[in-house]
Amino acid sequence: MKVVADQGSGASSVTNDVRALAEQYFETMDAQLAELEAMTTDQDPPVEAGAVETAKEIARQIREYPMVPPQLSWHGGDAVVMLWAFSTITYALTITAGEVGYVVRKNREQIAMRDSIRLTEFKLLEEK
Amino acid sequence: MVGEIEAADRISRCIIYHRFFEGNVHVNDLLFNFGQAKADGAAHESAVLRSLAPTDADVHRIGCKIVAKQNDLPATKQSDRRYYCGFRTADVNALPLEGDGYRIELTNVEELGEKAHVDVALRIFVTGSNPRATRRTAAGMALAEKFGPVSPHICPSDNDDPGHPIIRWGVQCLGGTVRWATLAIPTANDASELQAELQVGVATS
Repeated sequence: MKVVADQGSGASSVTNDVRALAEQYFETMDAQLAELEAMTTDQDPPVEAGAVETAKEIARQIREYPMVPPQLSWHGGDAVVMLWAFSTITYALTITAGEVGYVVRKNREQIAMRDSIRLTEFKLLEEK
Repeated sequence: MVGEIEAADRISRCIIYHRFFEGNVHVNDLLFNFGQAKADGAAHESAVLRSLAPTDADVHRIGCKIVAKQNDLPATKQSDRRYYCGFRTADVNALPLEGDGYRIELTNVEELGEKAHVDVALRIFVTGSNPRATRRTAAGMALAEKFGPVSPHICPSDNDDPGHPIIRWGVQCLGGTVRWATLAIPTANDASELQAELQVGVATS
């Protein structure tokens, strides 16, 4: 994730607009997770409860950091995907019960993939 | 009947609302959202073989037929109504069929009376929930990037339906994904003015 600081740019109105939009996306993400959680007791839930719980924890960390809100999707009944797209880079977390995997693509090529990272060991951003 | 798929051929993916949409926008990353493997060990999605469906009208006819059948199911509520919105096309020889721990197989096999049907099968060779799920994500992302922009369409039966995404939001709903160029949110200690830029680009850019 790229963080840009520009001293005294005078772009406060633009910043406020973007912050408002970011908050809107966060609220969308939270609502989606709440809906998925509510459906975990259904006979055929879209995602199992363990994956939703782990995704909620990741979502909490994203908000706290704070980071740009991701696009949320899910597949296979056992995975929640959080995806960020920045120019030519796409970064996707695949969240299952208690574990996280990630895929990074740049210029239409996969440059990194890792799976089975325990939630307790997962870090949203590399510390340099 | 199973047919040969030539490397020089093309396949098209029919775009269906809601399934391929994030809210009111079709997003690249939902183009191939593979599910769990079936009894044969593969997850399956569908496409259209362009050598057997060479015109846009051919593909649109198939897309409209698909959603008509899906909407005909007894359990379909109005809120779950599906709409065919158009298709996207890729060159077969450009598709990333081999990945780290998975393989994608294309088979031309007739389905629902359509000889141009292509079965897109994802086979994953690792075990464990997260390893397999991560490869479902990886395979879907890799495939989607090879498909071009949408050729939009409204089925004749939907021409007067205000719920159709193109009627509701315009064709721009088919080619956009919100991509953050730069975004920063200040920490409690950061008093600097921050500059942010929001960029909207086409799904294939």
